[in-house]
Amino acid sequence: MSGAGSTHAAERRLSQLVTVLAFALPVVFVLVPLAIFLVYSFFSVDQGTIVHSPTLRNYVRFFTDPIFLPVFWNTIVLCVSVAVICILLAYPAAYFLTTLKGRWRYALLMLLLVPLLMSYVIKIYAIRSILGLNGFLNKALVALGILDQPSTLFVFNMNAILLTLSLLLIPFAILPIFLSLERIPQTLLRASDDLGASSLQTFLRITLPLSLPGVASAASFVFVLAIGDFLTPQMVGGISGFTFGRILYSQFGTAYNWPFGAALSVALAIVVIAAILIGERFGRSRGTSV
Amino acid sequence: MSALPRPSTIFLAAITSLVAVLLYRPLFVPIVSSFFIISHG
Repeated sequence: MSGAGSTHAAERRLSQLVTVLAFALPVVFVLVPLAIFLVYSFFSVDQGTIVHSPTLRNYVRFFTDPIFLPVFWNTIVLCVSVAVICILLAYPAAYFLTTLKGRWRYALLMLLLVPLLMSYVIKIYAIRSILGLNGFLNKALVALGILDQPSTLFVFNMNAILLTLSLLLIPFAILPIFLSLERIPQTLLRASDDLGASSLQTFLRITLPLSLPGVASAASFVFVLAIGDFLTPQMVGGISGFTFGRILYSQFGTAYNWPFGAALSVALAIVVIAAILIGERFGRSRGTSV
Repeated sequence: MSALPRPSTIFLAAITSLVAVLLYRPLFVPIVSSFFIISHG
């Protein structure tokens, strides 16, 4: 009897330990670094040395300097555009996958997700070569007669960042939309058919509203990944493709102004958290209102 | 998902093919390039 009791106690202790670990890991590796950044954002730098006395100077600089707010706003607009392009391409693809039967559905889904396995940097280099003056895109547009001569419209500017991020992030939009479409009960669609609704009516009144939580998740997912990216703008943005991620990178690197970089990170984190909350709220309200 | 009219299926398949091309084209470039060499001079 006492043996069974000690076994129960050991199991209880083990489950308590696992619970503590499950909470401690995100706290230690996510919340504590964020809190450190928040604290750093109230410090300042004097002649290359961090001054550990609290000040609001970094935030005042962010809101009053004519450079940072316009770049911040342009980056938000860019990332919303990336999210919209990804959704417009991913939704039909995910919808098509759900119309397939059996193993074809998952085989094609895997095929669309496999590009995620390839190195991010190599993909950016490859996309840069496609968008360049002698790249595939320019050659195709010239061959089709849309352009008279190769254009620099697609490389080393904001358009290049928009196209590259969209290409890189499409798989992140396909998966949540596919999952939300797959979860729609077939009985609802059959009932719609039985009641004489056309395919378009069924799509507009059942499929689309019920898949909106997945669309919202996909949009917030793509937006968050795009807004935090500094490598893509660095590699395809050139001089005119300046995004907030590049400013952040420069503050932690060449400028060596960690407190100001931390203040910019806090501003970025607020936008990211807002995007996640909006996506979650929008998805939940649309998903339950049908 | 219920069966779609043929034009809708063709449209969706075309978009899916476009997405596949967009995703695989950047992978194709380094793979093909790896079979070439650069000649100096």
